[in-house]
Amino acid sequence: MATEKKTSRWVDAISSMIELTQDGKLLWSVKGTANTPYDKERTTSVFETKYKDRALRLYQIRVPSNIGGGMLTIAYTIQGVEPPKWFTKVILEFIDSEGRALWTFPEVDALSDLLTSVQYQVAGVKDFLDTIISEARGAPKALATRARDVQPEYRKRGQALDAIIQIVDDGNLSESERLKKAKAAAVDALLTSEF
Amino acid sequence: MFELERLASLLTLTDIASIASLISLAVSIYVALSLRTIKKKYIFRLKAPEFMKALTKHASVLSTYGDDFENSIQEICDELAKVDVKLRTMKGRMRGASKKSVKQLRTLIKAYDKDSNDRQKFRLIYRGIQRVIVEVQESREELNLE
Repeated sequence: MATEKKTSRWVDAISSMIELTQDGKLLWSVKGTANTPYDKERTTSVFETKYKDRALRLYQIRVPSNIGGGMLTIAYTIQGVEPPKWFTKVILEFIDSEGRALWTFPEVDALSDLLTSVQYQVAGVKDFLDTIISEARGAPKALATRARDVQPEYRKRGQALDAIIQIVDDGNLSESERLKKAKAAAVDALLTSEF
Repeated sequence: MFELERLASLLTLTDIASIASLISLAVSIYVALSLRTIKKKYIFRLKAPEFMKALTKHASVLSTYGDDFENSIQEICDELAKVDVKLRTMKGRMRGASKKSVKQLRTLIKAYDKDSNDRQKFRLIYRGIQRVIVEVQESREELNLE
């Protein structure tokens, strides 16, 4: 029971990290050269972030499955499937200022979801999709709020863009009203924010 | 001893047969219930890995939708419908904490259905799925020890 509670705690922690990443409150970056203990086995880029003065590193490695015999091999044979040679494992660890691993999180399924969210954020998929869809529709919605806009230092910019988008999307307004209001919001944003 | 002898002299063969029938009925009910429990346990043990795998997959899909929540509400509802079907099927085969978690998760899904724009409710579902996965895993390990 104690183990179960502990595992749930890890799951909750990883779920919170996913939420913070999706909200743009936890910003990740790709580390070009990372001194990880599994450099040869690594299958993704190395992502790093800082949260409350703690540095975290996230990446995926492949590990040999080591299915040499026994019940598992029989199970695969019955299914007519070749046993996998490799498994993937997502590693999330605390690191020091030199990039040395200090402590690794226990393995939980939610870690791979965290990695997907981080890749989504770092690659800027949301912005790309918003831009390409709005361009295809011919709507001036290329002003999509970026994940960073929810950060304190960019919040005003994000809020201003949100206000403009809201006006542009308002179906109750006429074309001229919309243009007028959007212009006013843009001027207001320019006067009050730092972008 | 005297009392027993007296009781035996009062009982006819029919009475003894009736008592024996009642005892055998009780034993049969006990055996049937035990068999049902064992059957349930074994089916759970067999189905648990497949169930966990499916839930993990659903959780990953939902998490991906969470990256662009505003534009994925319809997809989330569709995915949750599939999750609910799986949970309903598996609930009957579960016991204890796992069963309770599945029940809670289904309540969360119903609550989200009523207000699908609520991101917080959606996030509670994701956490709920992860919790069910952990509990099913634990229950399975416990069964292996029995």
